[in-house]
Amino acid sequence: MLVEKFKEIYRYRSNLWTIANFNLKDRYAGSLLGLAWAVVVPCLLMLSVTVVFRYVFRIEIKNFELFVFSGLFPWMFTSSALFDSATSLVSQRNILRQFAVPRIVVPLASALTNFLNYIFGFLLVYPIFLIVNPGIIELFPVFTFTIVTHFIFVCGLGLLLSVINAFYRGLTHVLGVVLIIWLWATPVFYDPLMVPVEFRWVIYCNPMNLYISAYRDVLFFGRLPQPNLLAVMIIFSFIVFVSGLFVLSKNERKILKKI
Amino acid sequence: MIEIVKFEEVSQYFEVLLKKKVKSEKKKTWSLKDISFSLKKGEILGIVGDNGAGKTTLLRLICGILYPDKGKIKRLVDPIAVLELGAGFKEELTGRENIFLSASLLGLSKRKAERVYQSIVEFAELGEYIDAAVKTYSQGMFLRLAFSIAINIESELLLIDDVFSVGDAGFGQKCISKLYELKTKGIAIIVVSHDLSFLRNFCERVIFLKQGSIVSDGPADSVISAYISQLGVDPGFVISNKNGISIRFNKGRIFIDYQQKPLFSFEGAKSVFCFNQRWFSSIEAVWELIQVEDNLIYVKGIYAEIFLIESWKLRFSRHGEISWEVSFAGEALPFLSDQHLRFMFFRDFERFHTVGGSYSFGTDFYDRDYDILQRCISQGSIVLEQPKLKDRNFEFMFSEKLDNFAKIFNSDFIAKSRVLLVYGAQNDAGRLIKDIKVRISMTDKKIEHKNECLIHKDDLELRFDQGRVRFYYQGYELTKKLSFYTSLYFEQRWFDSHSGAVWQIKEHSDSLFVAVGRWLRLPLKQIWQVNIVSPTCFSIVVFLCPDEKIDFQTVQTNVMVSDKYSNWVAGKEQGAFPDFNPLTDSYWESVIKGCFDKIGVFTESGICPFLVELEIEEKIPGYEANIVNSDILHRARLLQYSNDNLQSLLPGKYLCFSGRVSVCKVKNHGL
Repeated sequence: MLVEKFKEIYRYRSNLWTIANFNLKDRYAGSLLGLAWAVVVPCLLMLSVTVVFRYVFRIEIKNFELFVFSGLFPWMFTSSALFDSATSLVSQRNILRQFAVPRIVVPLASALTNFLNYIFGFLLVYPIFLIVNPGIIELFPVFTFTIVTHFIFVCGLGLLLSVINAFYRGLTHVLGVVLIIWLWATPVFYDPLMVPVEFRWVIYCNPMNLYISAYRDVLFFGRLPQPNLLAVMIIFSFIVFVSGLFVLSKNERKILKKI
Repeated sequence: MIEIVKFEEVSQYFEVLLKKKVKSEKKKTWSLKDISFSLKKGEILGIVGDNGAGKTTLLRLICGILYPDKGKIKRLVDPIAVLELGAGFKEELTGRENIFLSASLLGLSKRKAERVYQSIVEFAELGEYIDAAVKTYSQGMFLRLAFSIAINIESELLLIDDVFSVGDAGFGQKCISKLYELKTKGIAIIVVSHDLSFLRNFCERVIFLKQGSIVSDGPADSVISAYISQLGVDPGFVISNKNGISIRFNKGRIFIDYQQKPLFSFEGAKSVFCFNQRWFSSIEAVWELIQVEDNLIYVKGIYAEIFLIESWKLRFSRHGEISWEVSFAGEALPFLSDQHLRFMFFRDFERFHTVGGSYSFGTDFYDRDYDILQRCISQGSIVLEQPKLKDRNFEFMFSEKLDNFAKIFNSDFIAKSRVLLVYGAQNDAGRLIKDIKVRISMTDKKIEHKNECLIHKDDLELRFDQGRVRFYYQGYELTKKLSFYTSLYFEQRWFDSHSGAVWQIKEHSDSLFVAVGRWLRLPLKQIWQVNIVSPTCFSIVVFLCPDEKIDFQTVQTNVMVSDKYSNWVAGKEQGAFPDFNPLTDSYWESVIKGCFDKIGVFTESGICPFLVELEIEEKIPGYEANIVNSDILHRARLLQYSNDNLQSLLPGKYLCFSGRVSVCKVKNHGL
């Protein structure tokens, strides 16, 4: 059954790409900056956060802007991709009622759309990191690895959420709050070592921490992440992805009537 | 033939949340129940049913958009559907972009998408708007785009939901002709539509879906009639009888089924009349059931606009006969005219028999109900025959004491049915004198071919058939349609030998026969003596024997031949026939008239290489030979011997024709 799902994804691979591209076009249609928003929004957010944290909260991390950036960019991708995937089956019900699209395609396309958005933005911003720390260019392959595993994790979780959302529409609202809380629980604006020891378990239980630490390592600190970390990342991503596929295939038929 | 889709006892339910004040209720509705059918490659299927019957759900299941809750679906092809307009399009994207998006969603490869893309754009005819965002499109434009995509992506199965209502007539025509084109290419198509005449013409097979179940699955004509017959809020009443006949009355229409097979096509049987120069039909009245018993339906219909009440009594009499009585009452009654009952039969009924003869309906359906085959003034019965099914012959009987008359013809090509109009007894002004009453029965009486006979000598063959003689030479039929017949014009009506008289063969041998015909409405008879003299010539003698004094206007003896004969000859003169007069309504033109000894027809082109010649052996005072060109409906030539002057005849025996007909082969232009 799962093998079929993988086959479906493979069959639709170029179509997924096309659909994601069209989704992006649709998203930015009519806007002034178009795809450039993919860079502008994170930058603006980063600037505002930096100003508040540095001058109001008096956080003392050197190059705080880049510190935040290295975690914020991935985080923004995560939250928007999860939200879009979760709601995709419901919001795209028209397409599902008209064409015999494999259900898998819809949340994956949403995730891919956000991913393309993310990549575009991040690649434009990468040179800034390079300027500050030229050595990180050697870590580019690891950076790629991080991005890919991160994406797989997000896809899997998105699939799971999309199924849940089909049955419990309230998820949409809950998800919004959950993502905000999750943001605080992830060391995006702070370093894990700043957290009191009693509470550090929260950080370590947070799966996003894996990825964010990896991003931090390759972009900010310019050091190779621990091999354990990389191994856990990829295993964990695959587990989540396969679980997502499994849950979706189990519930596909019921979903078609629920949306 | 391969089955490309197969449904086995498929059922589908939906859970609908009914939000009420106190407690919300979750209701489980079965939208489809135990659906089983299969579709073959290239088959054209129509689906009819009321709204909510489950048609769109069925299409979705066929497509794979929904999975069945029960049962199995087997699918060998990837269908493409046009279901809801605008679904599947992203609003901000242009028409062009949406084409590619749709292609992607359907799983087409990029190469295939590019291949069909151009034809999609062309067919949609959106002009420059193909580059506008789809959110600016009107419903009609959505239809164009959606339909164009569906048609041009080469799929083996096309599903069309009821979307045609939004298209303009021009595009609608284009879509329909493209559908016909796809039909010839062998693409299977399933159409859901409320346009019943389109479905009849386009689909071979129709499924009637009612509240989630298949009520009927079969040939288009019968299923669509079954659907029409139960339209409306009240299902109508059914009475059935042991003999397998069932009547359904529904809002001013009657449907009769014999052994579960419907007899009437299209709208069933209804009554029609004319009031104040406007036609009304029983469908327009508001009907009420007065009495319903085991073998009686008594209904009354009120026409709101005019003060008229129509009552129908439908009864089962013995032996599976139905009687239908129609009467009128009310202030408007004296002003009604042309009341008749209109029956429409399936085109399976190929022949009909009256007292005057047996006729075939033929296969011509014009664009108006105009080709009147028979105008019967009859007592007795009309039997409609379905040669393929011997037990479904329909007999209409008219009461002996009433003067009903009937008209039979083929309908137009939209309904493609046989039409029978039965008029009640009328006075001179066309007003109904008495109630209309008919008796209908199914009969498996073997249709006897009464009183035909055949004589022949070598290559010449003559067939007598109820007041008409056909000539055959070397296998060719020389005559056409009415062939050899006689006509009498009396009191502004024509009385023909083939329709207005009953014939009997008095003498019959190999080369001669004598037939006597008794006219139904006139007190007279005719005696025909036909004798083959040689292998190319035979003689005919016609005597007219009135029983009472009759004032005729015209007496004629005619030989009708086909229009392939392009030239005529009369005595020493000859010429070509002019073109047929485009005016119809029996506008027959005389080409030449005079006291000729011989008149004939021939053709120069050699299609029918014979010359047919009528030679008058005994000249009768007052009679003249005549060559006539018929009207465009009959498309024939006439060799005639007639007397057009008023005659008053006392009882006796009068000669009206004595002559010979000979046939000879044309060698060259000359005779």
